[in-house]
Amino acid sequence: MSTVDTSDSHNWFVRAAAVIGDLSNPFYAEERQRDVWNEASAVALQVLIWLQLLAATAAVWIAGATAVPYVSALIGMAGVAGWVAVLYSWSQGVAVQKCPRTSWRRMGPLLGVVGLLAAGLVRAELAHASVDGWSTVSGVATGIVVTAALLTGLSRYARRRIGADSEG
Amino acid sequence: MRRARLMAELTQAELAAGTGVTRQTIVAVEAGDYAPSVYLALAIADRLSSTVEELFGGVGETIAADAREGM
Repeated sequence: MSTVDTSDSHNWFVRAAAVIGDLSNPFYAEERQRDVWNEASAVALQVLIWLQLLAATAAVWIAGATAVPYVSALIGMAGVAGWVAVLYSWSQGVAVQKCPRTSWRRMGPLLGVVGLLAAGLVRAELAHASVDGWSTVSGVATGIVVTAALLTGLSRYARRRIGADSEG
Repeated sequence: MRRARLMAELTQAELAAGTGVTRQTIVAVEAGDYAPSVYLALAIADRLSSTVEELFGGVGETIAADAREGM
C-alpha cells in the first residue's frame, strides 16, 4: 500500500508530480523500500542543492560578471527543485515550515555559503556597473524583488488551494 | 517477533513472501531497525497467528513514551 493515492488526486499538481516522480511504480508498494528511497532522495536533494550553491559561488568569484547569468540559472534550478519539494509536501498536508527545531549547526555553513555567494554577486555586479553603468544592478535588484513577490504570491495561492482541497 | 516466527516454523523469506515484503524488511523489523506500518504489522500478526499487541506491544509503549518526553 502506498502512502498516498496520487493517481486519483483531485489536485493536478499531485497528479503531475506522480507522473514526474514515477510514484505509481510497483517499487513503492514495498513500504521499507519506499521509506529508504524517500530518505535517499532527501539526501540526494540536499547534495544537489549544495553542489549547485558551491558551483555558483565558485563561478561568480572566479569568473566575475561573465558567470552571473549561469549562476542565476543554477540558483533558479536549485530553487525550483526545493519549491517543488515544499509544494508537494503542502499538497499532502505536511507543513514543512513548521519544523519543530532549527539546527544552527546545519544552517551555519549554509548561511555562510549563501552569504559568500551574495557577496560574490554584489562584487561582480559592482565591477560590471563601473563599466556598464547601473542599469544591470537595477535590473538584478528588480529581478530579486519580482521573484520574491512571485514566490510569496505562489506560496499563498498554493496554501489556499491546498486548504480548500483538504476541506472539500 | 523473531520468537513468534520460529514458533510458527517460518523462515524470514517465507514470512516475507506471506506478507508481501522483502526478506530485508523482515530482517529490519526483527532487529528493531524498522517500525512497520499498521498494515504490515497486521499482516505479520495474521501470518504468525498472533496479535499486533503481542508482537509489537513493547515497541508501541516505547514510541508513546518518547513522544510524551518530546512534548
